[in-house]
Amino acid sequence: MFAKRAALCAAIAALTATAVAACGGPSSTPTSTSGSGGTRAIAIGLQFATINFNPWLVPNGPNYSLNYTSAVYDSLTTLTGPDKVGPGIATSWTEPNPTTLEMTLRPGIAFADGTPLDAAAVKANFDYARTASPAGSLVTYIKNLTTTVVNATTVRFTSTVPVTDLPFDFATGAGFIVSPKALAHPSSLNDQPDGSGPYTLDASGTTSGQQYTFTRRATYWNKAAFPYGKVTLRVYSSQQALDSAVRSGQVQVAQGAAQTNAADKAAGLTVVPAPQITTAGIWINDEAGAAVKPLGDVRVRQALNYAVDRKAIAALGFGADGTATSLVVGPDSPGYRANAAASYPYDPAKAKALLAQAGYPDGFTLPMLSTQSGDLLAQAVAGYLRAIGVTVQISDHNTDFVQQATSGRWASMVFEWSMDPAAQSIASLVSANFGPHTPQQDAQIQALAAQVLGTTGTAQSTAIDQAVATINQQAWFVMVGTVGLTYSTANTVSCTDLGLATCLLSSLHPAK
Amino acid sequence: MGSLALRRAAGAVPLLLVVWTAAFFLQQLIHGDPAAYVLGNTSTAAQRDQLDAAFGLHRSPLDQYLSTCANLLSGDLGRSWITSESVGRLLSTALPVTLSLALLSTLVTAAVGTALGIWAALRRGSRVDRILQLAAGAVTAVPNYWIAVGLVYLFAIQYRVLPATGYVQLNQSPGQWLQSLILPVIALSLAPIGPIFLQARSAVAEALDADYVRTVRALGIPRRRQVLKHGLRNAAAPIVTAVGFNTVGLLAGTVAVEQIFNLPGLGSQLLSGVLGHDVPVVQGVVLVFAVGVVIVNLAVDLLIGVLNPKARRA
Repeated sequence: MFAKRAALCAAIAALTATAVAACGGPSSTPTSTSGSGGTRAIAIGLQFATINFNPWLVPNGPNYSLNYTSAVYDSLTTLTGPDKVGPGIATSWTEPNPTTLEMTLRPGIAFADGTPLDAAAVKANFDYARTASPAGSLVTYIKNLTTTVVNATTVRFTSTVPVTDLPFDFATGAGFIVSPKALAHPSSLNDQPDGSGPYTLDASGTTSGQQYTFTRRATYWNKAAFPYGKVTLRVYSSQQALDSAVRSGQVQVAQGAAQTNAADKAAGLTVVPAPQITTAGIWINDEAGAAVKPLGDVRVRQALNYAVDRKAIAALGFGADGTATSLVVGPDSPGYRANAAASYPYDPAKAKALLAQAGYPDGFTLPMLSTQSGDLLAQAVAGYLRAIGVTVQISDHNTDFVQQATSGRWASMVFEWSMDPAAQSIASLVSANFGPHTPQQDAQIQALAAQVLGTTGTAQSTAIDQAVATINQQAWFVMVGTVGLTYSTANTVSCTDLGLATCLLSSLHPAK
Repeated sequence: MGSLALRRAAGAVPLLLVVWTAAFFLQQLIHGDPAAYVLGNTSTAAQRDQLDAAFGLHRSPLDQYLSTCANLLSGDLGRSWITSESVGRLLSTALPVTLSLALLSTLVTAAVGTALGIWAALRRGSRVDRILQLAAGAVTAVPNYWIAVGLVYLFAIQYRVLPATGYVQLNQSPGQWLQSLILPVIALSLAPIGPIFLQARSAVAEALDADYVRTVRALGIPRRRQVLKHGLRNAAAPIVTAVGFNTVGLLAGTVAVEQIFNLPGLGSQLLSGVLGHDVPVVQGVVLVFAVGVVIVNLAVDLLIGVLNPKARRA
């Protein structure tokens, strides 16, 4: 009798196991940092999956696609520290005049498909990026460039504006070079990169949207800069899951959050504060009032700014290093002025008066795009705006936040923004090509943006100051403060500060 | 028994059609142009029109619906509007995760709930019985995501004996597969154990009080046999029904638990599909969940038919 029952139980267990196994499915085996040299592995936790492997079309930025693209593509230049640029594909460069940059390329580099990476390949990339449709956000940085092949290892960039910041732009997203063969059929880059970078995508360890595994190219020219033989980028749909993963050792690097820093330290992790260049708040995307008419009136936008108690929100939500500010730049960025940062003190009575003057004494409804991680901030701001009669309708989008933000559907959204480098960032904010934002083509601001891009030194600093102050006066944003951004790393890993408020592959090394 | 299964399966077809139809037409209420959403605001009207045509959105809703029905009959669930991946492929990678979670959770809730129910029924009125009844009410009231966060802190972060997040395929490593599911299964199982325990306790107690069990006892049949063969067998139908009912609830609970443990299952796909307005993905996941519910109900009916021959004629 017992034997019969045992056999039945075993059969049920086997059937269950077989049914599940037969279906197959993704996997996310825990990764460790054991081993040395080429066998060393590292897992990095991220909150966003890359949309595809076309570096010219993906949303740029350390928290979006920079880790994905830098794994498989080389860039013309590389970051070696905050605001410090070093060689990459280009070994050296000169500026014969303020609007020309000439770069000497490293010989002997080839793409994964065998095509040589030469000046013609570089030109093919910039020609493609300028005309790609729909355009990527990086077009802002390179739209003024004309690329000329001088010889196989020399390429010249000519611009209509000064090229001072170009090497920095190339190092932070606008200089990844794709094989011309792949650019001839860009859709091939949807799931298959074709670059000359330190790693190749390992399809067997990759599940789109969840986990991406990269193995190091045996013949890579700069192995010393990438000491890990295997890199796994894991996507976590919530900060809670990401934090659990880094604290339990499943990943060795993760973006931190103000609310979790103390727990991360208690768990033995290294919590590294980043420079205060990242501001968080509400972006008013519909300043023209096309979808939400009241937003077209500057008094309404200013009312929204007076309605929010920044100090209270920043103290609770942005950690010890956070600072309340209404400016789009933080204390460590050019353009920051303490008096300007406090130009919208918490004054709900004044906010109501401004709304009444603009003809909206009963308020209005404001749709707002948010993410799970930005939800606390969205709820806090919504609470203050409700007090002056503005009803905020918050919609959370996580995996598709980037697509939503660039869709033009949202009159406002919660967003974090790093003003680095300041000149290009200012130019982006006033550019009609910049995804989420559709600024009014105000002549004064456009002129200031042109000055920001077209000058250097003191003249540029003055123009940045004026542009930031004007944007603040026009109330294009309801910024709340600078985020005390941190990243948490296991004690087996060391991360060099590149000034990007996160750890990139090139900045990670085993701890000594 | 075969005819019972056929009757129930045939009855499920119109139900699935209703769910499929409702899932399609409810999503027609969502505002906005999906093509503009996918392509972004730098896209041209021609590009949006082209994508609309690719999605089939240039046709009337009825045409689109009939087309999805025809595709469904040929096994084609369409492609994700966001990633362009085949919905069938997305579901086939997510299904094993949720299936593992749901099956293991059902086994745990059924085994633990029934065992505790029998134990308490044999000790009715005792202190242990009262404590168990109190605990059953308490665990039923605690949300599974709260339990999940506590389990992660204790077993993954504090003691590091189990992984905090992630899923490993069974055919890749059975040991790691089980490890990756222990905490999610506990988080998902605790709440349903309460009602199953209460149902089992009540049904077994009632059966043990019946005349036939008293007769069996008078005949000197061993206590264990009295309980397991005569008591439990007659009490099994309501317990099986309770297990089935709670299994359906478990499927809904996977959405939150998969988020906390970062499990790439159907719940995660459903959430990202809803947040991304990815209609084909949402429709596919809803259909799979509906099929799951139908299968659970069919299994319950068949089991009750096995346990009670009179039910086969119903």
